[in-house]
Amino acid sequence: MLIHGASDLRQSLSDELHARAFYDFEGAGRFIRFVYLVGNDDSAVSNYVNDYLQISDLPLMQADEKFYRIELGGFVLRVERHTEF
Amino acid sequence: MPFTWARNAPAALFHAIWVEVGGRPPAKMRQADMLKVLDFRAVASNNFSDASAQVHFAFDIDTAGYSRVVVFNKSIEAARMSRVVQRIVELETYRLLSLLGLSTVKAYSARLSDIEEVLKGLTNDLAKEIKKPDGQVQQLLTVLSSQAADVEDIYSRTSYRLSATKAYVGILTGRLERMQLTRLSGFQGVRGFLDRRMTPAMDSCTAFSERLASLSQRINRAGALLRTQTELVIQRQNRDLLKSMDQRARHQLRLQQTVERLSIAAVTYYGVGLVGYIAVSLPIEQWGLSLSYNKSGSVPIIALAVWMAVRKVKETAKTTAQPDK
Repeated sequence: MLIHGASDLRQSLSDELHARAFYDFEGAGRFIRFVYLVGNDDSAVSNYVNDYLQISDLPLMQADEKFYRIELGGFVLRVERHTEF
Repeated sequence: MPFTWARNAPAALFHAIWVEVGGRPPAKMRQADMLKVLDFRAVASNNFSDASAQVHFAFDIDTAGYSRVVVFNKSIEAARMSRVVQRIVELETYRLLSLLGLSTVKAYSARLSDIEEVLKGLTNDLAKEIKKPDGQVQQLLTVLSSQAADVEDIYSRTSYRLSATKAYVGILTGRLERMQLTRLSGFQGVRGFLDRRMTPAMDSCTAFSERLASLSQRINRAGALLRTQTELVIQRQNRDLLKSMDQRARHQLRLQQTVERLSIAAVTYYGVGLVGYIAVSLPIEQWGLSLSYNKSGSVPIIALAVWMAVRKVKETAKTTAQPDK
């Protein structure tokens, strides 16, 4: 059975399965998560993150990037975009 | 970690979770010790993953704005530990997300109670009006429509959050199950803590949904009754209207018949007058006739002729008025 547009979706659907990657963690550590409610427009937060990344001369988070992760000196910054459901 | 930068993001901060992961747990650690370390009102703790690690949740927010979790890792390997931390962070996030439904319930409960009171009064009034022979229910329909609109408004504003709450509770339960929590001697367990603290909140959400659904059904039933009663009133009004039209038609017919009779008399009178004028101009006495006999003799003939003419006109009018077959 052919689904219209399915071929275009193959890569993005496949990427979805690998988006929430886990990274090995050993020993003691600290994890801090901030959860922000942004409604339908997260541009204010993503611009805020990108401003910080730009000042620190780091690769920027792309507009369609749902999971951004970057290793910084002594810590890892991870930004996730989630819809409620 | 740039804490100040992260905390000042231009969005509503919903939750801040702080997870500390350490090595093997201290020997002979008691619940009171952990409470002192975390400085919270309560602590919920368990062994997990076949007692290869311990987790201690505060399920509270400290003065710095964080909800703290402490994990002691005895023997969980590196690849699994990241998944464990992810699960703990998600569990803490979904715990708070599921409680969002409670704030929605609190915000709309009073409004729902007001509608229930109005509906109670309305159904009482409806029952009284229905029992009256000339009961009037139109004004009740306006009140009911307004209440139905209010219920629909509350439904549209709360249904998403209440459904989300149900889904979050499902996710939370799933996360707890996957952690394979087991009892940590001397500590209050996570599942027991959440059951005691969250079940009343979740029950409130369920009760609110049921109240809303029940209210909607009651409004539908009252609406059906009102519609039936309104139709009965309309039928009664139509019957009265037809009766009144029938009476008016009878009066008009009687009036018409009187006018017809008077018209026959008047036309006969004029006809006899014309006969008189004609008779005066003729030598009727030479023919052995008298004027008065002549006039009186013409009265029945003229009257009969006029009556027949009127009858003919009526029959023609009746035939013209009938629709073509």
